Amino acid sequence: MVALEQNKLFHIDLPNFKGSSIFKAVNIYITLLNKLNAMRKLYKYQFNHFDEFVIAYKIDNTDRINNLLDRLDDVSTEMNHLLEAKELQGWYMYPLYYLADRVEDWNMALQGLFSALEADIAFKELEANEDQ
Amino acid sequence: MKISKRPKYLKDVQKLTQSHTLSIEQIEECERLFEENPQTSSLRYHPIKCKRDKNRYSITVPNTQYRILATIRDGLAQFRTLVNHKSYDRINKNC
Repeated sequence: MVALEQNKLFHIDLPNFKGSSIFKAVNIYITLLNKLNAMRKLYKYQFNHFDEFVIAYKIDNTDRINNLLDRLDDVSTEMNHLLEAKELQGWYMYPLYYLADRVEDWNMALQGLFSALEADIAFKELEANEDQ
Repeated sequence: MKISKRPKYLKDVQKLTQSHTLSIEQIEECERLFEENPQTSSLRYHPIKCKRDKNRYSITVPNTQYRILATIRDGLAQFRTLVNHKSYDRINKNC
């Protein structure tokens, strides 16, 4: 949740194996690999335990959901930039590409669930307003 | 049919028009066609199986790979998001 609500989740530094120190490049590579894997696990967990997640964090109004959707959308934009990056086309970058693709996959699936929840709450709010 | 545009949809429209991926005319034309007659063939309007949102529908922006996801209930269509085909598959997977 903390990660979801943070304004800037992470900054992507791509490793450069040409022209910079190999140790530095490997270090960046492993850091990025760990970051992406952590995000993949986070989104997957939130997707699989969505109902508990919604109750635990009291996500019960459209403003809150739209805020979360905004954050997820920002991450999605970052991921799409990363997936399209020329630097990621080399065979040795495949693990990064694969993980970024998985992160995007779970992120979009989670957005689908939030969108369904928002629809449900929005229509309930509308009905409540009509009753009054 | 009446249309209501949710914040995520408006953000998607802004993002896609700013990047010149879609033009505002294309989107407005799609909205107009939907308001007049949702069954217009070019919109490829159809329901989506989703356990959590049983009223979810897909509307194609004519001649593009972009789809609008909407929730339709009691004659009101809430446009939720505007996504490309790949994201559309991902967003509806395991829903």
